[in-house]
Amino acid sequence: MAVDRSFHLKGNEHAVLLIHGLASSPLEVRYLATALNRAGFSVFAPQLPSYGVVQAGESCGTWQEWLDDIRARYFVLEGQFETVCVGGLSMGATLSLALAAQERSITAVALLSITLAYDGWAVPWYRWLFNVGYYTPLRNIYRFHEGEPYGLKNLQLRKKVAQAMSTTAFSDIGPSTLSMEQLFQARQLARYVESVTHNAVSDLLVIHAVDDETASPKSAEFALEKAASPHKRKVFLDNSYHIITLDNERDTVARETTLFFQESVRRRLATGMTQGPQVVNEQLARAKRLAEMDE
Amino acid sequence: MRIKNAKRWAPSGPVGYFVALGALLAAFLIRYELQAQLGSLVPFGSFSIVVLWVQTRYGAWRSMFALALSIPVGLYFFVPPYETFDIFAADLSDILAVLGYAITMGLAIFIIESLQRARYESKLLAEVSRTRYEVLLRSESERQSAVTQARQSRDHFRTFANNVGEVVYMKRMGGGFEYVSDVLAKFSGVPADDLIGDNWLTVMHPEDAASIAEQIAQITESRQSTLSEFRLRMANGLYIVFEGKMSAMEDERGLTLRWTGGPLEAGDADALQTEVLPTD
Repeated sequence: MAVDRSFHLKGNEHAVLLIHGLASSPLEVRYLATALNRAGFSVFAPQLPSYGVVQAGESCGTWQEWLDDIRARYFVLEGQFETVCVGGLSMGATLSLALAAQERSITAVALLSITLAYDGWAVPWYRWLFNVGYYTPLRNIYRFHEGEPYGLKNLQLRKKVAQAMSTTAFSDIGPSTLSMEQLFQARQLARYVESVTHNAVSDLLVIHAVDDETASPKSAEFALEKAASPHKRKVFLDNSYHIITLDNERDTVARETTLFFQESVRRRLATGMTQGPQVVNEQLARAKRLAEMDE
Repeated sequence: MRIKNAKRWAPSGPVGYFVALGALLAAFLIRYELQAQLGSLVPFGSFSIVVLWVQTRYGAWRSMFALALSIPVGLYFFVPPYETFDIFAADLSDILAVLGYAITMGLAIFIIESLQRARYESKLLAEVSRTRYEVLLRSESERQSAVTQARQSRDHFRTFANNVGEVVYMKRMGGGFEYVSDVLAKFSGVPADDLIGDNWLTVMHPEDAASIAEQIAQITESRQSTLSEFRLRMANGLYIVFEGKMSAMEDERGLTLRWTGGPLEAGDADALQTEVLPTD
C-alpha cells in the first residue's frame, strides 16, 4: 500500500480541490496549496488511491473510477463550502476538466499543464506504439521510464529529483516509471474529455509552459477553444517544463491561480456568475477587450 | 530563444496520413487521365502539388510518407518504359526526372518545415509576451487596489483619531513623530503639520522634555514600554498633565514597525482642570 500524502489546509468557507498528476502524489501541488491557503482558501489535496501512486502488482483502476472518486470528493466539499474551485496538474488537469464538464456548479477550474496527448518534445517518436502495445502481452511487462528532464527546467531541482528517483523510485514529481495500463487509461480519459469539453461552463484558467516536454501547448489550446466557459484566461510560460507547480515559474502559477479563483468567487458571490471581474487598471481592461476581440 | 515544441506545429494523429493517401489517389487519377496527352512529361507534377500541400498542412512525416509512396507509383505508371520498377531500363532524362523530383521535394519539405516551425515558434512567443504583459497589468491593478485600500484605511484612521477627543500619535522606528492628531493641534494652538518630527517636544513643559526624549529613546531601544507622565502647553499658555504609554505596532513576524499611543488625562475634564499649571 502506497504512503498516503493527502493534506488539508484549513481556511475560509471557499474551498479548492487540487488534483495531482497520474501515479503521483499531492506533494507536487503543495506549494500552490500553501499560496491558496495564505489567500484564505480551504485547500484539499487528496491522494486518489488507484489514480495516484500504486505499488507493483496493484491495479491502477479505470479512468471512470478515477473520475467517480474525484466527483465523490467534490460533492462532499460542495455540501460543506459556499464555493468550490478545482485545480489539477497534468492528468489531474484532465480529470478536473472532465469533472467540470459534468458538474456545472464548480466555481472555477485551473488547468495546469493539461495533458490531452503525450506529444511534448521529449516524448519519443515511437509513442504511438504504446497504444498498440496495450493489446499485447507487453502490457504486463513494459513500463515507460521517466527520464531527463523530469518535467523540470530548474537544474537544481532536476538534480534533486534524479537523485530521489535513483534511490527510491519516487520523488516530489511522482514515480520513475508508468505502466502501459496507466498510459492506456490516461489516453481513454483524454479521449473522453475531448468529447465533453464543450459542456464545461465554469470559469477556466489554463496555465501551460510553451516548452512543456510532456504535453505540447495544443492540449491547452484545445481546452480554451472548446470549453463553453464565459470567463477564460490563458497564461503561457516560457521558463518552465511540465511540472509548473514546482519549476522556475511556480510563483507566477500560484499568484495567477489565486487571483483567478478570487475573482471567480467574487463574481459568483456578487451576481451568480455573470458579472466580469473588478478591474481597476484601465490598461488591463483595454488588454482584456483586445484579447476578447482577437478570440 | 528556441522553443523545442515548435516541431509540434502540425496536427498529430493518423488523420494526416489518411488525408495524404486520399490526396495521392486523387493526384494519381488526374495524372492517369492525362497520361494520353502528357506522355512522359512531368510524371510527378500532380504528386508534387500533393506533397507540398500535405507538408504545409500536416508536417514533414506525412509529406515524406506521401513522397515515398508517390515515387514508385509515378515510376511505375508515368515514367517510360512504363509498368516496370527497373530504373536502369529508363533513359537518362527519365532517371533525372525521378531524382530531380525526390531531391526537389526533399528540399521543399525541409524549407516549408523550417518555416512552419518558425511561424509556430513566433506564435508561442507572442502568447508568452501577451501573458507577461497581462500578468504585469494584473500586478499593477493589484498595486493600485492596495494603494486605494491603504488610503482608505489611513483616512478612516485619521477621521477616527481626530474625532475621538484624545491626543493620538504615531512614531517611526528610530525616527520622529509622523502623525499627531488634530486634537493636540487644537489643544496647543500649533498647526498639526508643525508638530511632526521632533517638534512635538516643543509643546512639552521644558522640565519634562528632556526626560521624555530620553524615555522614548530607551523604550524604542529596549522595546519595553512604561507609563509616562508629562505636561503639554495649551493654546492659552497653561500646561495640562497627560499620562500614557507607547504601544508597539508589529508585523506578522513580530517585528516592530512603529510606535503609537494616546496619552490620556487620568480622570475627567474637571479633574484635569485642577492639574493645570501656570506657565513661567
